[in-house]
Amino acid sequence: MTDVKDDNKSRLPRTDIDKIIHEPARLKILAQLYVVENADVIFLMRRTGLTQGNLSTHMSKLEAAEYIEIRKEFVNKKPHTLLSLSDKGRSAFRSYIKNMKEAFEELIDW
Amino acid sequence: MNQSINLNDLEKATWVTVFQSGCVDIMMGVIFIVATLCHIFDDISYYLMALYLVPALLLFAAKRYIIIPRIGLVKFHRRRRKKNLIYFAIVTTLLVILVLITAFSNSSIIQSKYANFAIICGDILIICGSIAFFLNFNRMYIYTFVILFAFILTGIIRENPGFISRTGYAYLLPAIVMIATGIVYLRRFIKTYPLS
Repeated sequence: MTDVKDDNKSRLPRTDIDKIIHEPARLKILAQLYVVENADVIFLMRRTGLTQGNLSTHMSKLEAAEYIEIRKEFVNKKPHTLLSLSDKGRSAFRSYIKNMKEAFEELIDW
Repeated sequence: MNQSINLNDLEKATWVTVFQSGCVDIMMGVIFIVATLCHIFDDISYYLMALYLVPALLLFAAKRYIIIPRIGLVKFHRRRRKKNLIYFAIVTTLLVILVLITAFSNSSIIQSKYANFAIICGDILIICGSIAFFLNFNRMYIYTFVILFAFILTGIIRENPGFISRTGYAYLLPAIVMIATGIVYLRRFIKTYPLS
């Protein structure tokens, strides 16, 4: 009986893909932050092609998931927002890459 | 999402933004102009050395008033900084070795002046080429050949003194090429990234 259950489970699509990261815009943000130590909002806007509003929405979601850390400071009396990937975000991104690779390896065309 | 993300390429593309504005090219061009001035006015070159601060100040100002307001601020990953440090150590070691080889070639063992000339050409190719290769600064490959050409030109001027008596004038050629290229890139950069 256990064998049949396991067999059925293996045929179902994977559900352990992190949906917060799986969204294309958030994936772009995380990928960009993964390769740098920190970056400000303008840099991320330029690199990802997102608008300020769009980026702000995704930033909030990523911050709520504790994947990124947002630091606000003043540079030359101007507000400056710096973003960096948290340790949790870094490991989540690594797991996401691993899971996606495995998912595509398991995917057999017919 | 139909585009693939290669994290290595992404990191490299992020790093290359350093050279995107053309300000580095302009700074290098100004360094060559200062070097030429020091060579031409060699009697006051000691005082002219202070002019080497100009390109550094120019780059600082460009970063603060042109680059950061347009493309923002980024701190590169420590892996990249470590890589750059290793590259810097390699280039410095190469430079020391090549200077020693050049000095050795000047000694009585290798007498030919052409051999000495060829060794310095090799030095320029190796040093400038390795800077271009290690820093992913592709335009530097072109500058390497322009600098090499300028050095060959100094040899020609020295052999045939006439209209141009100072060999240092030859280094205005890479300066002009670098500044002109830098201005083209800067213009494109300002157009692509207007102040928001």
